[in-house]
Amino acid sequence: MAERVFVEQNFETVEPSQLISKVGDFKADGCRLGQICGVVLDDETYEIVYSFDKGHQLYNLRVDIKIGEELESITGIYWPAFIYENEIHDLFGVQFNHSALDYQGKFFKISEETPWKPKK
Amino acid sequence: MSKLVILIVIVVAALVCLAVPYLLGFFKFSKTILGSMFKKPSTLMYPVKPREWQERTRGAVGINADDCIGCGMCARACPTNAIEVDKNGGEWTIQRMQCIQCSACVDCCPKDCLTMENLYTIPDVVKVVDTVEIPTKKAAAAPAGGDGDLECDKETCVYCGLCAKACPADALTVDRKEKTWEVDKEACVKCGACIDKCPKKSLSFGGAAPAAAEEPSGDGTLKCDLEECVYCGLCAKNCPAEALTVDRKEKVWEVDDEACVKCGVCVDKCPKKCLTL
Amino acid sequence: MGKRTIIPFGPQHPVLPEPIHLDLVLEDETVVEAIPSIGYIHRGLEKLCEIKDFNQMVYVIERICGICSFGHGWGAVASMEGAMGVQAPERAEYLRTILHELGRVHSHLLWLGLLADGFGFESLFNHCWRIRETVLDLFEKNTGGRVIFSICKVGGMRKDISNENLKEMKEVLEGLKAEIKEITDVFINDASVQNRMVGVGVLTKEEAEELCAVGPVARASGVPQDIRMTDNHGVYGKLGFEPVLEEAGDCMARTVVRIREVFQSIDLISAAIDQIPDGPVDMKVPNKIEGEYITRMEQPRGEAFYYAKGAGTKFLKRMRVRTPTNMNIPAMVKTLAGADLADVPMLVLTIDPCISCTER
Repeated sequence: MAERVFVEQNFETVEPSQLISKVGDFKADGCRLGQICGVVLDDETYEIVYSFDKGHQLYNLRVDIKIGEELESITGIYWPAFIYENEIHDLFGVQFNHSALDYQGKFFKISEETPWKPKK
Repeated sequence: MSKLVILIVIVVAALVCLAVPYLLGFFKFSKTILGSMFKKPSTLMYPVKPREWQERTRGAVGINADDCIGCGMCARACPTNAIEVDKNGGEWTIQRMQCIQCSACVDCCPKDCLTMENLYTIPDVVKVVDTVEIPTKKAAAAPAGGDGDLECDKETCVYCGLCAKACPADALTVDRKEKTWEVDKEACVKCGACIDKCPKKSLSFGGAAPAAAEEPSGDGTLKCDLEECVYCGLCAKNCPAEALTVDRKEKVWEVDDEACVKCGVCVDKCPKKCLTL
Repeated sequence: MGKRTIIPFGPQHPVLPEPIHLDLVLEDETVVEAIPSIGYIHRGLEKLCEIKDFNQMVYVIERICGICSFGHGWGAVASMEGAMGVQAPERAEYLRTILHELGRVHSHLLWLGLLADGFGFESLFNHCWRIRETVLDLFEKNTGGRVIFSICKVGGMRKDISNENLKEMKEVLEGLKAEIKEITDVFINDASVQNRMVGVGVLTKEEAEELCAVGPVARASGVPQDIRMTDNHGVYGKLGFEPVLEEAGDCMARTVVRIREVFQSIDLISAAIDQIPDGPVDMKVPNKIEGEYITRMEQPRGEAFYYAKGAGTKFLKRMRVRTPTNMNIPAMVKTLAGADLADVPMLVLTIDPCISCTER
């Protein structure tokens, strides 16, 4: 039976150009894609966090990109990533290239303009 | 003729033998269904028979308007902005349909005048807005008189920090080492909780003279008459500065003179009146 | 080789109360490809969390889902506690575990009812929901709410549940076991149910790993993946928890996993009630959040992610919730390819989709 695991917070910052090879390493290692999350750091920078799981242990990749920069899609390696990539594209306006399933901004049907900036 | 009958009988018997186990597979639920035909319905004849509410059921927010001081803590704590408080106009308003019954307002109310009632808001075709009149500032006698900003008489203040601990709005900053007392006027809701707590009565709402604190007699260090002392620990429990150590089993009573702010709370609390300042 | 037809499925469909839209590409009666699309009910809750302080946020996050609301509240609270570096008192962790497992019983019973409704077994549906009502009453008595509990807060619980009430909860649940067994035996043994589910929509272990399936969907295909096996999540380590596994990977296996989990949850609750220590349920926490933290929870539907990134104030820079359905949609889409049109509702239902959660 599976061993009990204490999950560490493994964060690793990578350059956008290294992303595909890093994700490929995780795939080769037998990891499962956990999630992709977009964070607005300030008016100019976004941070994308990729999480991977192997045997309940968590590995996170952090990619910082400037507004207007484009990222390479990881759907070629992890097909289920299409949900997150389309979501981040629709809600944050980050462009992912070479996506296996690109909804062209039609994944979330929302009336508000994105990225949404609520006032405190 | 008889051969035909026998053939039909054999065919029917074979069919039944095949079909019975198959059909039995289908009627796994019939026992439960037959059983529930003779049971009372599990549903309630609502509204003829009303539902029983649990003690903790969160239905709708109620207010005891007489105690309300219009501080607006509830409006700030509300995640859905359902509550509005107009202190000057003397109105407390709740959007019943916007309220999510989280009871955050009930928890934060410094005067405990909000309650969570069991009954839900009755459904309606319009959005229900309830307005309750609350006493305005003039009618309500503020604990220390006056209606200005919170002020501290720095001469009597011992910087014990009890006021900051009592503040529901986290508006007070007290540093005992640096001897500073600061109030965030934006955050202060003028509830008066700090005034009630202050052991030296040095807090007041602007202008009004603070009630003079009784000057402690003696040389100023805390002493305990160990012959009278029963080591109950009440003094240590109430000490705002955690300067007292009382061990009932070992019969130890100790005061950390460095930490003691000489506020006199322990003197007031002592059941045997064996403490002196 | 027949002519290809595209049939729209949803967003309004009798088997599903939730809006998911599928474009089903058919060849005769067989689905060749399914293209999912969601986004009908995006509520912007994650963004809303950024303008609420961390105490108010818990009440907002709980409303992501009306079924696994306690888990969402707990997940958000745990990620914020992690970012602050505080650990809730032990009794609070036990109470959270008990309520979370009770939520699983309620969620799985609700789902079993929906499944029965999906294949047209109305009376079975009603009986599942009748039993679920008892669980909801337990919730109301102990927390004050029937579906949204608002009892979790950063640093512990808002209210303690007395030991008498816990004992009563244990008795009620142990008594429910026989009733649940009577109902779930129908799912497992009835021939009409078996005809609809055995061998339908098989997801092999390799496919489940490849498609990153989570929760009961993955466990029905033999992937031993359950976040309750990690030590950051509740007190499961002390309760002797082992994940429920099935090998077949079809609709029946996914149903059986959930049925077995109902009984397992009741056992876990009983074990936790026997062990629960006395003590405080609440503690004082700092009033600002710095740093970042990822927590995962095993929701009734599978693994959920909670990512909190503090901004050094009472407000968070980002609160991210990734719900289990998000990860199970790819698995559903793959199993749909090759299925019969009449089996599509069954396949959609057996991943237990919660689209409102997915879009937040």
